[in-house]
Amino acid sequence: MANAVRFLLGFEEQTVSDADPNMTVLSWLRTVAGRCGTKEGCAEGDCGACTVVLGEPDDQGGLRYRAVNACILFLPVLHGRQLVTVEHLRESDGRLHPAQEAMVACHGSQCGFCTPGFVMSLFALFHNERDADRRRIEDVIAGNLCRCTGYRPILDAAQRMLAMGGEDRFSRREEETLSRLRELDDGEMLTLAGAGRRYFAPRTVDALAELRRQYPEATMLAGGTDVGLWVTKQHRDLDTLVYTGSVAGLDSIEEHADTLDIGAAVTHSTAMERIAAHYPDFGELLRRFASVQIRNSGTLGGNIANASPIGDSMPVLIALGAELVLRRGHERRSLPIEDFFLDYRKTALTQGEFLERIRIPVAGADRTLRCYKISKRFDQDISAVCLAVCLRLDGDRVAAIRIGVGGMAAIPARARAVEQALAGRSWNDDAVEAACAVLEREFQPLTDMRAGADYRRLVTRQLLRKCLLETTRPAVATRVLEYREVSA
Amino acid sequence: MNASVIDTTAKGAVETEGRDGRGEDDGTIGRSVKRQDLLEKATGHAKFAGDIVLPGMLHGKIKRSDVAHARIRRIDTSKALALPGVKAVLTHENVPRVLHYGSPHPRSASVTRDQYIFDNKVRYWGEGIAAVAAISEEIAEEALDLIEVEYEELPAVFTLDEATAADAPQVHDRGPGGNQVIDPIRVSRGDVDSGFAEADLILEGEFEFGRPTACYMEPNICVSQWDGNDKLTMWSSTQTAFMVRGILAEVLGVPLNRVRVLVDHMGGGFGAKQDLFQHEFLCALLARETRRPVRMEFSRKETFLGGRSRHPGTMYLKQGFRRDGTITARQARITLNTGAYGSHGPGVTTVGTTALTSLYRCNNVDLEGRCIYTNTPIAGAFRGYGVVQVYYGLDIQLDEAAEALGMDPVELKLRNAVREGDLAPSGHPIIGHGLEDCLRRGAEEVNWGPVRQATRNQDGVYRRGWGVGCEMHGSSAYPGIKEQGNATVKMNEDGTVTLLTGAAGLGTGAHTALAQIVAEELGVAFEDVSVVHGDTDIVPWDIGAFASHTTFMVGRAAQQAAADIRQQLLAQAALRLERDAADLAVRRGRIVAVDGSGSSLSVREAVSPTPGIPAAHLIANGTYTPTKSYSFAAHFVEVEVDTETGQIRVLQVVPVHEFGKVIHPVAAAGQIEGGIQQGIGHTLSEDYVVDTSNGRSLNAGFVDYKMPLAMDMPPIRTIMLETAPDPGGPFGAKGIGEDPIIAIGPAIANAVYDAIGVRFHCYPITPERVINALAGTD
Repeated sequence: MANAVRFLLGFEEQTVSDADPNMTVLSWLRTVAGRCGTKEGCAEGDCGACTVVLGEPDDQGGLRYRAVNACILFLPVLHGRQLVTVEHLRESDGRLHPAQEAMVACHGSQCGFCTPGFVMSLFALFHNERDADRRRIEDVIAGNLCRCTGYRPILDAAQRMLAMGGEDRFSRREEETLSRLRELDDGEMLTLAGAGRRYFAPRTVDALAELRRQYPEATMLAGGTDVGLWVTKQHRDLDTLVYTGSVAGLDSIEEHADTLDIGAAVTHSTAMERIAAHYPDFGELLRRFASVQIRNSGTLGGNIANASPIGDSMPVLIALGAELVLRRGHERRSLPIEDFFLDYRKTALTQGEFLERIRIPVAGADRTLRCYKISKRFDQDISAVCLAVCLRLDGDRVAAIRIGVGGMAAIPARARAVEQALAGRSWNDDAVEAACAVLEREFQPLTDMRAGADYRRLVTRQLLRKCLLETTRPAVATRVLEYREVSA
Repeated sequence: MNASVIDTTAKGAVETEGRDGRGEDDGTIGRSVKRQDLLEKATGHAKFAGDIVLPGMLHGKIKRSDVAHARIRRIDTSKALALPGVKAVLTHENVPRVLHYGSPHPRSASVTRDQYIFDNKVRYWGEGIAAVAAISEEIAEEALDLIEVEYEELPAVFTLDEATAADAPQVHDRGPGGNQVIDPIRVSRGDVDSGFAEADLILEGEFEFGRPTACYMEPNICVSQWDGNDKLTMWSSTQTAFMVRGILAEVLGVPLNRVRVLVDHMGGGFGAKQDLFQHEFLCALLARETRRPVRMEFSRKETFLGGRSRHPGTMYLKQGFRRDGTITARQARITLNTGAYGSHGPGVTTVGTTALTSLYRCNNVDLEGRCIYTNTPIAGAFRGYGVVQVYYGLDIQLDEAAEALGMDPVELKLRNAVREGDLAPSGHPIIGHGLEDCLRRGAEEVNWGPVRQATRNQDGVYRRGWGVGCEMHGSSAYPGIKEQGNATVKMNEDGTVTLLTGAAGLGTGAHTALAQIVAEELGVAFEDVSVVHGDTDIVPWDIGAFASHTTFMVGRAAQQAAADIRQQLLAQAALRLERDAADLAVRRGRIVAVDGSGSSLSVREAVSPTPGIPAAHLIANGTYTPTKSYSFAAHFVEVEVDTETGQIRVLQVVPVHEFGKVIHPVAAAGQIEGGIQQGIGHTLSEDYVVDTSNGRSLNAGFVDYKMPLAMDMPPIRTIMLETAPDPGGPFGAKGIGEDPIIAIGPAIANAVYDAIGVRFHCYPITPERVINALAGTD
């Protein structure tokens, strides 16, 4: 059993045995390690000034680097990983990293407060996607806010960095890093006690199930993109944390003939890739629903289990007919996802039970998924409305349809009455207009600062019409995604 | 026509047109030299105030009220004080009760003296009412919860209508009454009645402005330490170090030489970091009480609650036009909501109101601006300073007039554009024809006539439109504030140069521009000039980095000081070359005879010690008291509107700016692109929302306050003109910081109208507003 957090800070080994499990990596860096290059701009994973990069073994025996927000990442999560901050990038002879050199050359910095975070996002890009185009780079840095530059010089810098190419000290030392990481992690459960708080990182699902039973009041920690805020924003004390991110198998995706079987600890980044392979529209939605940093930390399972009323993936999973596998001790049961959400932040989980896997039916060629998200800002803005439609047509007749909506009720919901109104009918204007009328009656959305109830209803109807248009007249442009093709 | 073009669609290429055939070696002005601060920023070594760690440092936190308007009946800190680790607790009962200005221009009319550090009253939800210093942030937070407060709640006013109603509850006991911060600002020229009488067309409209905030990336932060001689040192993220020093000294009752304010790098301000904030006083007081250093940092939420937003408000605007487009009369009633304290309200109201005398010429104007207290968070200074609001309405109404008159908007705006000799809002004559130049160049650049034609008769779900917006803005706050620019230049004995400036480094690159100005004036290489800033004990006094002040005012002062050094240098060289100084000049780091005769000397040789001659001591000061200068811009924008969901995308922007002389093209374009980014946010999505039933802030944080990301930014083709250089500015340069946020708003609104035929007299133009308007429910 391991009882100290062991990780690499750059290339330097760190052992922290008395850490408060509620301490964030950002706080540790700035107040304990004396490394102030990493900044705090919001402490809620929205601005990216605290972006650091984690190195860890990937499943192909290599080393992968991913950008995360240090402000909502708990220190023990570093166990067995490499933490890279802006101070580590320069070569020992003083040469700048291509990410830094390009930022300087392109004037990618004005006030400089967001700059370390951008440099780290670019560093991760340097290691992961040498062929990224400008559009893709915009996605990659969508988790980093800059208020000075208008971003253009930063995009220029990213492209310049990719054009420079080459190796950096991290790629040159990959083998060495991998072997050192293997030495740091003995494969045993990490158990910590510090500042009167406990932290467990079990390695098997059985051990997790046992801990869950033993400490039913414990907080389950996955990516921490929600739980982190409980500490940084709500100042809650999380006395017992059970971390799901080290559990073997819980981070796996199994592909069966008719289902994708996704472990609860799979990150959004990984889940997104695999689901999007079957449902391109889901990928497009997920692109908009969180930053790279959040997707690299956050998990689909965590999102579901927390029953966040605003999760954009829920309506889609409802439309797809996803099933959840819940486990308590050795007992398992499965539940359609729409039955999992009971009320605001209330789920069907019983004491000691946890979400183990998510099973998503895979598209036959005849099933079409359409997802729509309406928010004030294109990316990373909580939806006013989210609509997902999964449709199977038999000729022009609706053979099967499932509809999930977000923002129309206190919880993500299935639009059963609308489905009924459409089932078996011809998929045309008349049917959709009739369905719109049903939609009007089925939900009583709220008016809040994000949107008014009338607007939510109106725009949901419009989205249903848009869905009809897209599925029947695919040549018609219906989304503002092609915005780059501007007149000369 | 000299112009620098930064074409972002061509991936950042900088083209320079008609640069008088100058090559790379011909000086540094107009060249995008490598900024001096970027290396440390890119490596994480740039020191911000929040990076200061001192031995024994305590952490301060502020308790904020959860009522909007109340008298504090009782406040009990005993439990908080008893918590282990708590070192001091401050409330209104134990801080100095000194009525002070919220903003650091205490001798100007821009600001109001209406704040105490803590008062026995609370005037808005989220106002600080107590402060704790403890050995950790966590303990300080915990102690805040242990402070017991008993309020006597008072009736509150949250909207302008409520605040200006007869017998409305008063937010303050001071002021002219009716919740007014100051008497109305009235500006009158000519005779509006006869102006309207001769009009062929009269338009009137009501406009409503949202509450965007600056959202600088670095939350407000300061660290305070008192030394053994009772001298205070404060590191603070402020645009106005000398103002902070002044008010702190006044309120703490100590002389100026016992307060030292340090600002190295700061993470953005955009105008909103020029007030003196509660935490700066409290930090100094907690440090004095505990005799330990204290650090106080705002959370992101506190940057909303305790920070300063742009003024929300309303405007009634009425104008008369002749058939040929000439404006015959303009009448406006502007009402700005300053929130619970005056802050910059008076200045913003004055600048906004007087701005309506200009941009488009009009001999008959009748303008009134009012600034109103409400029980909401404080509005203050923010890039664009009152002009953003009024030009939004003005430019939209010009667009409406063009349509009603059957004219092209560019043609109408050209007809009325202010020009050489017209009186600017400040009362000074305008130099050159900057606005006309911007309009003409932009129209040509975007192929205005044909692109507007192409947007006729659209019927798809997606509709595109083009719009144009214009603006002008003064360089520096003169004459509203009697500013001056100061600079000290020293030449070291190896010929390198040090410039001392009090202007803070917001990150605009202005310090690099100052170094360029000094290098150019002196005739030395840019790399040989370094800049020292940010220490009130060392650098010359400066009013602060705001109001497009630094390059214009400090730049001219630095140029004067450098010219003085050059004379001293030539005098030194004259001794060594045994020539008359008047016959010598500095060229590329060498001192040569103007006529090319005889031997030359490097700058270093002229000043370094030689046997028998000590090193020359060269130091000079420059002080510049300005005339008033205006910069101009026209922004051309294409948008696309989704008529089913109401979502708007800005497809491209062509901003054309005229600011006399471009010192550093890339940095100048950086100001423009950054301003456009903020302007797009303000116009389409950003709004800090206060619940008008209880005064609570509803979106004080980045989860629900959304500003543009990289993917939200359109391609921008920036054109910078040098057609109307100002004789007062360094090498003709004028200010640029304020300008770019102003014209983008009305340009977008006009483009949206062009696309879907719906006028929006408000911002932000959210999808909900668009869809409701299209559905006819708004």
